[in-house]
Amino acid sequence: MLIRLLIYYFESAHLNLLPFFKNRLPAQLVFLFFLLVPVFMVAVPLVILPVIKVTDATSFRGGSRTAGAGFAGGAAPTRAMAEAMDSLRLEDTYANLLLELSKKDSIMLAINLRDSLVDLLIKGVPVRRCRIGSYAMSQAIPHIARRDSLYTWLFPPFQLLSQTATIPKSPIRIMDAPKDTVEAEAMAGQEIPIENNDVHFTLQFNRNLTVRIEQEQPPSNTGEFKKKFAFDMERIFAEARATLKNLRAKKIPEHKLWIELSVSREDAKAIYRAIPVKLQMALFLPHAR
Amino acid sequence: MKRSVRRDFRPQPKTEDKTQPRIEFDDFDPEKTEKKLGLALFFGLFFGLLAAFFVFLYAPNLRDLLFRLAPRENSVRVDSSADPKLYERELLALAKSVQAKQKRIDALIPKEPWLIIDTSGNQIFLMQDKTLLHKGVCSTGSYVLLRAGRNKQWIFRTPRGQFRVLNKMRRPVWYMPDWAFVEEGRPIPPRDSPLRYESGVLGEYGLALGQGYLIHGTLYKRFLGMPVTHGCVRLGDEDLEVVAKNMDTGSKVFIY
Repeated sequence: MLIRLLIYYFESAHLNLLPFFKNRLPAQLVFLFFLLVPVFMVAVPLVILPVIKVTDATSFRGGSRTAGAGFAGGAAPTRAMAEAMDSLRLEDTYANLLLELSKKDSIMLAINLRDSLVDLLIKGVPVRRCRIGSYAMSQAIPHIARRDSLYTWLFPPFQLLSQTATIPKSPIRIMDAPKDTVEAEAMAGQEIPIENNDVHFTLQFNRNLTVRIEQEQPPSNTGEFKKKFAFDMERIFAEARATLKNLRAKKIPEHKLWIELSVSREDAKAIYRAIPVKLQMALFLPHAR
Repeated sequence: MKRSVRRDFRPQPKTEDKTQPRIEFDDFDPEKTEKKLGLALFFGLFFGLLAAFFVFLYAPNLRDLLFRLAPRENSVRVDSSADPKLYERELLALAKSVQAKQKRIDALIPKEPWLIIDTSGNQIFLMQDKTLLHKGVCSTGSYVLLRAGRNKQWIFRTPRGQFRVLNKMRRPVWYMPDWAFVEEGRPIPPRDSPLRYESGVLGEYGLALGQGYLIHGTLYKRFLGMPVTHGCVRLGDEDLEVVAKNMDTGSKVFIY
């Protein structure tokens, strides 16, 4: 619509540029140059350099990654063996994380991407098991996985720093005490509000990890769709603000690692309402690479 | 069948190529061209800045896209000098260690009956080890903040975490706290007043969790499944009986 309006405007003002560009390569190049200069000026420090920073740091330097290095003599261990070792190491790390969480009194979270489960734990006991409908991971995580630091990244448990959601943490309703029994009776007849809001929330953890939990169900109405859109935009602008902060401090912005899960609305609501401010989380990645 | 094509190699008269535009220098207007060039630069910059803004806004997504394109090391480096037998032994040791840890994790689940209370869905799950014995509905805290005057206020929510049944009562009597009178618009009687005691409202059984919180029955069965209580957990008669019969003093209750 906007493009049509622009074309109409230029045509009516006899300023149609398309015929002008049609057979003029230099003009096309100048246009493209001025189009690309600002894009590159932004893309280089915000997109390209952070990626180079991570991929450079995670590139292999020496073959110390697989266990078994240093043993002498005989035939070489197979690729399958090395993969089994990686898988077991991940399992071991997850078991260590669960044992660590069992020492805490508070409600804790365990995300098991291998079995597609999210568990709410109290003292190590799973009190709610939620099935993950689908999940997506930041493409930077496999690059971290290439480093030997994967296990140190996963352990100790992740610590929650902040949380935002489309629903209130506690659905508190404020009521003023009635003056007498008549007023109390009138108040008692009031309807109990039924919560039927869509649930989407973001948990920001330490070690640069963000977990986004979305409900599987599509938005229940236009209002909820708008709310979700506003929630997403808020997240995008928050990231943009953080990028600006980094640029002001003359630092290359660090790429945030994220995991996005979709669970049922009831599960999402139960998880969000249950998790405490000082939440700790155990993460089990599906594979080490 | 092969079709023969005859080509005429004789010199042909020159014809006007209609695909190539004719440049007519009579039409050339330097002012107009300059204006259009200026506009081209302006729009180049305008759309460039617009694109740059979107690159800035969606930089995390673009970085992710770039990470996807970045070469990944998929190969597993295996030391050729490594002994597979020793490697296998290391694998077995690790597998045993994982199993031992898994046993320790499984041992955390109570063996005697235990209760899970879901305050967001207002449901209860009576468990034994990993088996579900009974599932039912309950009512938990309403999250009402009751304000009385300037300094007095109460919030009615069910506490979360791990609890134990401290006391199991038959036909419990309710000792009405101050908020019960405030909520009904009645004057608050002294602490030892007989007006504070009410029997027959908490059902057949009461399981005390500490700090005044109970799992008990209710007269308001139509509210079961809704968050309406002052922090206690209300159950229907049948659910209460199953819970009370399976749970004992010391049994674990997990509320989330």
